Amino acid sequence: MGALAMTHQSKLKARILIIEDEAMIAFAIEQTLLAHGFEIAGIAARLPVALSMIDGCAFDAAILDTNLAGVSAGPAAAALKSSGRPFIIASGYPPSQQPEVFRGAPCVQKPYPPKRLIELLREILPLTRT
Amino acid sequence: MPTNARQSDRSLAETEQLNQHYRHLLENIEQGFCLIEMIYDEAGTAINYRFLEANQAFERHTGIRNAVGKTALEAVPDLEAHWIATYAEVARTGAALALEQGSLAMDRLFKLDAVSIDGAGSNKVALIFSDVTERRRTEQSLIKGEERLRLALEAGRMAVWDWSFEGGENIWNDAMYRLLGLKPGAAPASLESWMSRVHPADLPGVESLFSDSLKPGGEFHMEYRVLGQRDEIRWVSARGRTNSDKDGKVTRSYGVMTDVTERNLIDKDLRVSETRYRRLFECAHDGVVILDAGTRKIVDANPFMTKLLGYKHSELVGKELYEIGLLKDEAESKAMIRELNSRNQIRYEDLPLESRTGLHKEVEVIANLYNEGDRLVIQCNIRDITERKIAEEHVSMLMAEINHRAKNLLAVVQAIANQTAKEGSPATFSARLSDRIVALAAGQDLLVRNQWLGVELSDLIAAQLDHFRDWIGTRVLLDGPVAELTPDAAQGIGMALHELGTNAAKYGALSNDAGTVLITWQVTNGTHPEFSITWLERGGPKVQPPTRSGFGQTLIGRMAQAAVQGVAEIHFAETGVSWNLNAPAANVLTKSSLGQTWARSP
Repeated sequence: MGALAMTHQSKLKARILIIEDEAMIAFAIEQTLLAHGFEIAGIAARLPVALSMIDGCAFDAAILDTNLAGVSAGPAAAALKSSGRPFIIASGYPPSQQPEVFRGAPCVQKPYPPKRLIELLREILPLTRT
Repeated sequence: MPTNARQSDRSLAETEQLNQHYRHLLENIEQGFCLIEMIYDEAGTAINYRFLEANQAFERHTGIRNAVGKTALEAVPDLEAHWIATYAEVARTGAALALEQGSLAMDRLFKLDAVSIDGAGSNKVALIFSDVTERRRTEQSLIKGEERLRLALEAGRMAVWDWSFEGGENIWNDAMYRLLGLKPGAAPASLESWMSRVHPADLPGVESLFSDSLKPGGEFHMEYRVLGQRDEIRWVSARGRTNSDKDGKVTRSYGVMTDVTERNLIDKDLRVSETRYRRLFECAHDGVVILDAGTRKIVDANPFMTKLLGYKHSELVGKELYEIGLLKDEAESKAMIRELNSRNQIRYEDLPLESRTGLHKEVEVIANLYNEGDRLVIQCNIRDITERKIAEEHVSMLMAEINHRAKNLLAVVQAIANQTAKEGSPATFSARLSDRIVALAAGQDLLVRNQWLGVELSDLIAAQLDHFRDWIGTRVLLDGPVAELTPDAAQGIGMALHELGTNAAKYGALSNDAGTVLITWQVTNGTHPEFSITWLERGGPKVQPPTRSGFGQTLIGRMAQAAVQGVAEIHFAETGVSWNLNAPAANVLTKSSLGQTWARSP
């Protein structure tokens, strides 16, 4: 975990980066996360924005859509992996149809119960309490 | 008795002279002549004979050289015993014998006269004979030939006519009568009887050709129709000839006639079949090659195949399949033939094929083995499935995409439902949710109609404001250029327009009888064009700003902004609500729409 993340952990609220091109879904995720005591680090709807947020934004975990306005979010997954921060794949594609780069991360297939997202976040953020 | 003696003398001389005459005669006759002396054993049984004399013709008729002095068994060691017995009998009885008898040992047939010399009990016999082997053979073959001809005529149901123009007999065989639909012998075998059975349409031609043939060396050949049994129309082929005498006078006309109805039908069927299948072969949009199963070489290929491969027909003929890249190598080619021999048909899917120019194609090959007359051939139908494979991949990609979109859409519906549930009364939840889902669906329709490429903005507005369609042009005014929105922009702007419309109908300009809504949009020109759309209400009830921000506000504000990465502003002026959304045109419009030059909005 990076120093920034540690800083935010000290506030006892995990900061989540939402990478999702569908505004309505991003909004719903945001509302769900806020309702469960998470903080929103940011919402990225396009790949370049996502990459710059992964690079320069303080967050503890990410929720990643595999397809951002017709562009594969593969580079974002790779960047997340190399940054060492956990993430959840949230996609309309079943895991079997997803490219190799997305393998390994826990996955929810849209549409999913909001509760499931919260459970997964708690699993991948063992050091945080929310 | 001097007189007697004199007479005797004279008769002796005469006899001698006569003898000389006969001898001369026998020496020079056409037939063979010989004088033989029988040889008996001790028991008196004839066992052989010796040639005492033989004439010049003897050797020609028997093939025996220098016979005189030899015994028969010396001349012909295998001579049949019956010859000896026969001559012994002539010698014993003195009775002359005429017979025709063959000798296998000599491979000849003889017609001969045997006469005992010196009467009964003599041991000398004179033979006058001819070798008739050739003559008999000729006669036999003539008889056989005639028999064969008769059989052939009968077997071929060949009708025969023979007319004499010199008062001789006119002959028709039974087949001739039957062919003309007559009972054998029921009518005279005449030209009139014949012509009466010729099809009226063919009669002038038959008459003219027939009379033309009645000249020295004249011939007649024609196919025409006759009335056959039960007056059924039959096709016949007639072939005839004319005989004439030295003066050029026609003496005879004769010939044969056969029923060729079936043959003509078969010929016609064959022609139809040939034309049909030839066309099929020439015009097929599948490649077809025919291989000789023995040599595995191509013997024919259709035009589509030559086009597919880029080889000329002449370049394909004589090649093996592996030489045109269809099968990997000779071993595979041989394996195909082996398998065909056991199964008659093989189907290969997805064979790679390389054209002469190196173009790669995916083909499906169906190979059939069958007998084509006297040789075994393999017909390969080669279908170019390159396009089909691309289409299949496209469909499979589309299916995955549709699945993805459906899931995403359900997630959107789920989000809308959750957010809608958080506000307002539970009693109206269902109606509010339905309205929003309908608004979402309206955009979908337009997208699907345009193959998910984009939505024309005025269409989107009309769809989202469908409740107010009667007022469009009067109370709802639209003003803006033709602009095609991307699917994302269409969804965001569409939902916002829906919320604005719903609010206008509940509280705003469309809630009374006089208010209006003006929707304008424009796109600036330049390297970074900007898109803007404005919703302006006038003439409604005095506006009260909302006390709290609900999901409707989120849709009009944040959702619209997010969809186009733009800025949305809403003002609750007393005179009417105004809403404005600005965004880079690149985030709003489809690529094709972006390319156009925008008219400055008035």
